Amino acid sequence: MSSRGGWYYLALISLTYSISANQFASAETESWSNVFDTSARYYAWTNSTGGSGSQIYVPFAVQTTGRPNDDWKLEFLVRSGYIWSRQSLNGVSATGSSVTDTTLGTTVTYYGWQGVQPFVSLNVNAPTAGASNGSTSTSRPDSDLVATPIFGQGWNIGPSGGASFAINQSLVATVSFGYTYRGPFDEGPSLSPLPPGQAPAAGRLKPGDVSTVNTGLGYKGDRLAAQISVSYSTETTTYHGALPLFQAGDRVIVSAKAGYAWTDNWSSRIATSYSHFNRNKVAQVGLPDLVRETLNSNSDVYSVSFDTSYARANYSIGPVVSYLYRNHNGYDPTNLAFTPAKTSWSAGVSGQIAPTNTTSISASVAHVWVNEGDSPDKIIPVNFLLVGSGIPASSTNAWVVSIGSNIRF
Amino acid sequence: MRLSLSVLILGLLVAVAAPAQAQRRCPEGRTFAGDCVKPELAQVMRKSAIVYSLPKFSYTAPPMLPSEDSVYAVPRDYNEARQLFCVGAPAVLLTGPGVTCR
Repeated sequence: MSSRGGWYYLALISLTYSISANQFASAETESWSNVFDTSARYYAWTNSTGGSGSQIYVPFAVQTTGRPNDDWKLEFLVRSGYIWSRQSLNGVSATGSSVTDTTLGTTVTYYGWQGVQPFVSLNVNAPTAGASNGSTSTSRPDSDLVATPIFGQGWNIGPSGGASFAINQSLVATVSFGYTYRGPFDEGPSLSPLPPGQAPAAGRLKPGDVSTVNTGLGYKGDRLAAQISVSYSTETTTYHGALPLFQAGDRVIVSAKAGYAWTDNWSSRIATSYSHFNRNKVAQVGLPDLVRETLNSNSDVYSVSFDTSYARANYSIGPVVSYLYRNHNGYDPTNLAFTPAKTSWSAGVSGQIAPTNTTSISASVAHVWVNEGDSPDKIIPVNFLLVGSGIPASSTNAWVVSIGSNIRF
Repeated sequence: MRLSLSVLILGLLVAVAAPAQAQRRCPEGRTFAGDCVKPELAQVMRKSAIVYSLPKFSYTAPPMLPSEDSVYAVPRDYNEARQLFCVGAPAVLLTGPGVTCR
């Protein structure tokens, strides 16, 4: 926690999380409609170990939705953005900026059957970022602080398909399957604890492909809306050049949301999520194949967000708070110890106004507190203590400011 | 006379049935009982199913509108972010001689 005055914390405001207004918005009834959606997000932080940084992230997207006839719906999405990042540490600063990757997506839904609406979707991530994962390493901020810690990666091709089961007007269940091919990109493994001159050369990384099955259940009554989703993923091996690097363990993600309208003007929303990986397979000296790690190097992540908003006429405004707990940030095999746990709190205010029937503007500001424990220095394989490679206990204070616009035409 | 009456009745039926048919169009399909499902519910559920079935698709351009980022957020694989992208690396690994995050 920083030593700043109490007023500093009272000016908390945010849209770090919300069940979007779209969740409660009216459905489009026109045959074809278009949406332009953008936002500008500014992150700034300092921590107790002398580090600081900032980031500007400007995503933008165009979505076209159409009903060529009663039985079919087509949706097309193009999304890209721009990122500028700066991070300073121990007197050294690095800055990077780039266009992000660009996603092209399309979804086709069939309405010809009563009670069952099947859909297929194809999303493609084109590597349009200027540098595969940031022009300089220190410009990559902690992913617990910013939503987008890197600038881009290789090609991603993500087909998915499933069906919605309309049990009644207010209750819908879904089942879906997705596969993500993640193409290679140029960059070596970055977190190498080897001494000077022995770190592996930069190479070509091929992240593992991911297969996921998902099921969900959603309810929307007059005042209550609720949704739960469970996903299970398996992943193939990640390679550095021709060498297998690791294979992530199977993963479970559970998320649940609920919103309730207390009156015509007041409503509250809560969202929680949980993520767990099984143990990875990792490279072992002297063994040709990956082996299952003894202890789990992945972390379990719990998060919860809550907001209450007051809406009247064409605007809404309200406070937002969120909490994230990561039970540890990874397992360090050289120390036979887990790197420290991390907690993150944020609090703020968010608001939205619709100047016209087709335009809405949103804004938010939030303060974020991150606390992380310590871990000792690393011992590299040649029994060399790498002084300074440990992680000191630290606390980080950050501000997140966002403004966005949604225009339908 | 009989033909004229038939045409009149047919015309009335068409006039009555056409709007009824138009009203039966549902924005997001029908339930098993034939009612229209609440469209906003169906839209959110379909998009959730697509996004959550692609949990590692694109770090920087996920398949949703920017205003929906917090709605369909998927927790990051922090371990992968550390190993592949040097996110959250200790200080010495960022700045130490010969031991750098590339």
